[in-house]
Amino acid sequence: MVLIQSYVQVPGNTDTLLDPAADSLRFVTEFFEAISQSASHIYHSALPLAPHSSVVRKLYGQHIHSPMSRIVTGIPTSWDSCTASAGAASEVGCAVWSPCGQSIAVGMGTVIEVRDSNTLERISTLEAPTTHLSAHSLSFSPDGRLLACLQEQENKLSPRSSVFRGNACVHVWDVQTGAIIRSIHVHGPGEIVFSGDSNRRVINFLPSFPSSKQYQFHIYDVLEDTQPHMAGLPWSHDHQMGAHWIHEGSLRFATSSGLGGHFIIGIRGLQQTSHLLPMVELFHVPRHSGKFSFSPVSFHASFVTEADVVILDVRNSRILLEVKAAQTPFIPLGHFSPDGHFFICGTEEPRIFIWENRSSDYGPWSNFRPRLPFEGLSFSPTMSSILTWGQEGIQLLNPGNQSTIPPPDEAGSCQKRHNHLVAYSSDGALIATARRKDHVIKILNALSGDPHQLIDTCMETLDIKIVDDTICMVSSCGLVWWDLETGGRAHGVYGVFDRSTVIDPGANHLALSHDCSQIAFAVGTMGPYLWRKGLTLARVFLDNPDGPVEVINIQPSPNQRGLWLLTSVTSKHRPSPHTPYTP
Amino acid sequence: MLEDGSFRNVTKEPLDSPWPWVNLFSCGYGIQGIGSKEWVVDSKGTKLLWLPPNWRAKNVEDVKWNDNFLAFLDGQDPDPIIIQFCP
Repeated sequence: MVLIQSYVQVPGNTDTLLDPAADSLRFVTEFFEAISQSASHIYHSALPLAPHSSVVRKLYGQHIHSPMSRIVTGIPTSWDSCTASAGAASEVGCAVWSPCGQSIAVGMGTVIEVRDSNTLERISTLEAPTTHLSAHSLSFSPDGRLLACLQEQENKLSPRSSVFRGNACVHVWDVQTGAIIRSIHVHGPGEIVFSGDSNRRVINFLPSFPSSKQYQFHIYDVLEDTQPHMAGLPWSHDHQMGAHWIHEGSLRFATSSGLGGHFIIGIRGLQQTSHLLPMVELFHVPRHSGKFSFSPVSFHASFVTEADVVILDVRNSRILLEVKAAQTPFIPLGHFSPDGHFFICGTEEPRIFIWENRSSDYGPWSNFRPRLPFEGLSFSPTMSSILTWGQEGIQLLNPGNQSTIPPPDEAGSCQKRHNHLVAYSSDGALIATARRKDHVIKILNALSGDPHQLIDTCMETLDIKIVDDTICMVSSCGLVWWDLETGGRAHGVYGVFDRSTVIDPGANHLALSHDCSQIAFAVGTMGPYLWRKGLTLARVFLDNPDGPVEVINIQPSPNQRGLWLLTSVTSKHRPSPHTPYTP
Repeated sequence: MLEDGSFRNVTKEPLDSPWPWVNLFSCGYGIQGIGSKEWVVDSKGTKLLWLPPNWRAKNVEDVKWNDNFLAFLDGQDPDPIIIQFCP
C-alpha cells in the first residue's frame, strides 16, 4: 500500500489516484489490529468505525452489516491525527527513527524493539545481556544496518547527576540478524550517537564533571576492539551540556551556566589526536535555561522550559519565537524538522504544537491532541510523520493535521479535560448528556442519535439523572428538574446548598433507585440527601460521633437493596470506612 | 427556596421501606465492554466490536449500559458515543 501510494504521486489526477491510496493505507493501518484478528472485522469493526470522510467508507459503506453491533453515534467525521499507536509493557525511555524512515527503534527497559514505521508492528526484539541496565539513548548508523544503545543503571535519585558512578554500557546490534556486534563498557551516562559520516564510529558524550574543567566525549570504533579516542573541550565554568550532533565530522552543541548560555558551533577535529579540540565558533546568548535543540540547517536554536518556548538566532541573539505556556506546562523538549522548516514541541495536556519557519520568525502551523501522552517526540526523516514516546507507549502522528484549536497562549479553555455526564431514560430511548459546570443539557434519541431536546439550565450542572419523565440535575445550589419531553419550566429545591460554598464539581455524587423514583445525592459534606418524586427531600443523618462526614461516592449495593456510601471521617485516628447504608 | 421565591421545608423522612437500587453499570446480555481490553466480547467470548484506543477504559468517561445500548464519552467530543449491541 505504501508502494502504491508512492507510485501514484504523479502530476494530474492526483485526487482520484492518491486519495484512495492514502485513505486505504490509513484504513489498513488504523484497523490493522481488528483486521488481523479476523477478515470479517473489516465489516464488523473497521468499516463501521471508519470516519464519514473516508474514501474507503464511501466506496464500501453499503457493505456495512454487522449483526452484532451498530454504532448509533460517535463515528468521527475525519481521521484523527494519530495514524498508529502501540502500548508498551514498560515505559518507553527513548526511540529513534532509522535513517530511511522505514523502521523505528524503541527502548523499553532492557529491551529494544524494532517496529514498522507505518503500523508500529514489532519487527524484531533486541535483548541486551546486561539485564540490570535500562536503555537511555539510541542511534542508528548512517546506513541503517547497525543500532547502538547506551544503557545506564537506573538511579531514581538523580539519574543524570554529575556524581554518577554507576554502570553504563553500549551495545551495538546488527539490525538484520539481531546479533550483538559489540558491547562496550563506557565511563558514564550521557548520550550515544553514531558519527554522521561513518558507520563504525560512535560517540559517547559524558556529562561535565566539576573537577575536570572540560567536557568529555569518547569515540569508539564499533568494529574493532580498540581503546576509545578520548577528547574534551576546555571550559572553566560548571556547565551542563545541551544538544549536540555530528554532521560531516563536526560537532555542535550548546552549553549553559548560571552566567548565561554559550554555544559552541562547528567544532572540527574529531580526527585529530589532540585531546583538546579546537573551537571554530563561539556565541554567547543571554538565555541559559531550557532544553536545547539546534536547527540542522541554520543557526537557529530552541530552548523549551515548562513555562515557555523560545527560538533564537544564536548569531545575534534575535528572538524568532517566544510563547508562554497557558494552564498546561510545556514538556521541556523540542525538535526541528530535518529540513529546518518546522519546530515541534508539546504540552502535558497532551497537545502537540508545530511552528513554521517564516524566514524572519516562526509562526503557528498546526496543533492537535495526540491519543497518548508523551515525553519525547521527533520528526521522521521524510517529515511525513511525528513519533512520540512515553510511559503509555508510542504513537505516530500526521503533522499536516490542521486544527482549529487556538495557539497555546490563548488556549486556556481547551487545556483542561472536560468532565462529561451521561444519563439514560428509564426505557433507554433517550440519552441526556451534559458537561460539568456547563449550562446546557442535550437530550438525544438513543436509536437514531438525533437531538431531542436542548435545556438551558441557567446554572452550573454537577450531575444529571433521568427519572421517568423527568430529568434531574444536581446544580451548585440544589436539585432541579425538567419535563423530559418538553424541557418545560424548571422545578427545583433550591438553596439546599449554600451559595457561598465553593463546590468542587468533581465531588458530587448521584445514585438512582431501581424503580427510578428516587435519587440520592451529595456534594462533599453536604448530604447525602434523598429525593423522592413528589417534591419530598430528606437529609440522611449518618451516625458518626466524630462529626460530619464527607461522602466520597454513592453506589448501588451489589444486592441492589441498599446504597453504599463511601465516606470519610474528620477524626484523624479513624480510617475511612465503607459505610453500608440500607434504608 | 423554590423558583417562585417561596420556601419549602426539607422534611426528614423515615426510611424503613424497601428501597431497591439499580446497578447502572452492567449489561443484561453478558456483554463486557469498554474495559482495558481492545474488544467488546459477549458472554461466550465472541469478539463483537474492536474498540479504537480512544474508546478504551482509561480514555472514556461516564460509561453507562442500558439493556443492549452502551453510551459513553471519550473526553474530547461533547456528544456521547452510542453503540447498540444485538443479542
